[in-house]
Amino acid sequence: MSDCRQTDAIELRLARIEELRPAEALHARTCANCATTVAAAARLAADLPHVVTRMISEPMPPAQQLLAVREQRAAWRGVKLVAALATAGAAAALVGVVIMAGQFIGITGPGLDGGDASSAPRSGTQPIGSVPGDMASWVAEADASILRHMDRLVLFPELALMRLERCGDTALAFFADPAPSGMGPLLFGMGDYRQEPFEAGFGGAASSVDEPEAAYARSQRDEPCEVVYDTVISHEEALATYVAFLQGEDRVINPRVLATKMVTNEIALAYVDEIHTEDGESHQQVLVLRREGDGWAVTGAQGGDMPVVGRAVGVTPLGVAKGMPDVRWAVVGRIRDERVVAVELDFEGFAHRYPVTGGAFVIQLPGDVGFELPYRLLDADGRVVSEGASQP
Amino acid sequence: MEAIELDQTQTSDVSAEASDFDARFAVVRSRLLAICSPLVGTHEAQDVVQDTYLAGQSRYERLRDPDAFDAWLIRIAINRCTDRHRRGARLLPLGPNHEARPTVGRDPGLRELIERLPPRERTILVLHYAHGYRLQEIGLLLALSHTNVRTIIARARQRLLRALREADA
Repeated sequence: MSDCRQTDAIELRLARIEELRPAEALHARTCANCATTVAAAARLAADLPHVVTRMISEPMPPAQQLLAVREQRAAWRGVKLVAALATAGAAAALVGVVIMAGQFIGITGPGLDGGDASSAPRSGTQPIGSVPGDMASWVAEADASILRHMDRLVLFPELALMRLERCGDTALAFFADPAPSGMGPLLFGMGDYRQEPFEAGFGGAASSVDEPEAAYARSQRDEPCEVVYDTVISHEEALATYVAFLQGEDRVINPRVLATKMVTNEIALAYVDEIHTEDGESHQQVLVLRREGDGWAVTGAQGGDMPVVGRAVGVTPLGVAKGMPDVRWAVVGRIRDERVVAVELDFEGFAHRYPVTGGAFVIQLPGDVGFELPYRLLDADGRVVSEGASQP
Repeated sequence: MEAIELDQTQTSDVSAEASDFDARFAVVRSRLLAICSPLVGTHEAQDVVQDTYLAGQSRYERLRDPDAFDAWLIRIAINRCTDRHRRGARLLPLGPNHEARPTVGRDPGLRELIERLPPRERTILVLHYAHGYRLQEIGLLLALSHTNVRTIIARARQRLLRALREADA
């Protein structure tokens, strides 16, 4: 049976019990591979409930009965907490009760679905908020403690973020909600970069680890408080960038976008070359990439004005995900000059020319050929519009 | 002297509480095993029940409603089942009480495929399809977001689908 590029996408859609797109359905009629997948999905849908039901010998109590226990335990904890603090008799402790009670409600509440993004305070200035159930559970699993819960982010209200600490290491953990790809909590390790990456999370959760040098450099600054924005656009697309909060103000410092690989499909990563902050405002620029066959396609870009040519070229490894190391390297860049139609890269002793379309490009390299590749951006006549060296 | 008497009273209370817990746990133990076995396999279920015992014993004082004892332990056990995932434990073949039986008119390989699923996926699959729990309820039960549950169950279905497809091929 021949391989078909659409089979995985169709399989995923069927696994999610989603309707096939008309084009996919049409394709499945003529593709043996995909037709087999559709048939297997139909069989699975029919058999799964019956087979699983036969596996159990003891019925479970109704879910509400189990959930009621949970609420009861939560209430009891609250009582104990209040009692302990009341015994201490410290007025300040009462403030703590209020805060902790708020946290506790978050733990036992409906989780992210119950959050209110519109009323969320600005991230980076909000010390504590309600902790979504997922996060609370996740933190407990990792034997970590919450240093700061930043709640929803203003720019990406679908994101909840908190800073964690464990054994001297700190990390940023965040949930995307809604997450069409079903991505679990993400975790960006920080702190002592020499240690093993802070690791927790559920199976299949994408996890990216900050680059060691960058983490170390930031740890040397005063009051480093970086925030990672990462959101999922679709099943196959994602974007991410860093925004640093310093002294309560957001600034962009060494913005970089981390590669990741999603649960189901290889996705995109983006890399930001340069952000202008002279005007005091932060600019984010990211590329949204999508895996297409053996290459990567730029499906979108986002960012502030960058009327420059020739600086938006960088080299980065593609794909860094927990348990799925990826050694591919690529040159990525964005061009804001309509004259540019090709980019020429020098590596391995030769000049390699690649067509550039759409104002941005991703060129997969044959391997690690270095970060600083001399490049030239060329117009249709082959004239050099701009040249320089790519940056790591 | 008064302090000593107080200590003795406390010791007696603790001992009575532990004894009460043991007696009640003994009653529900077989039920826990039966519930956990389809989720993680018979062998793993023994460990899960033991873990549940230890966790329950240490937290028994928090349980205020005696009628909720069974449900409380089941909750702990279910969470322990999903914990197996994080410890890297792999599913073991089901024991004699849960041997795979060909299902009449059904794909005889599907059950084996389900049993090979990672514990978290398998647990959620069973809770949903066999026990009829809604995804939202499973999420609340396991402290997962609805999105996470939906993803996990979709992933489980995808594994099964892929295995079936490959078998057909």
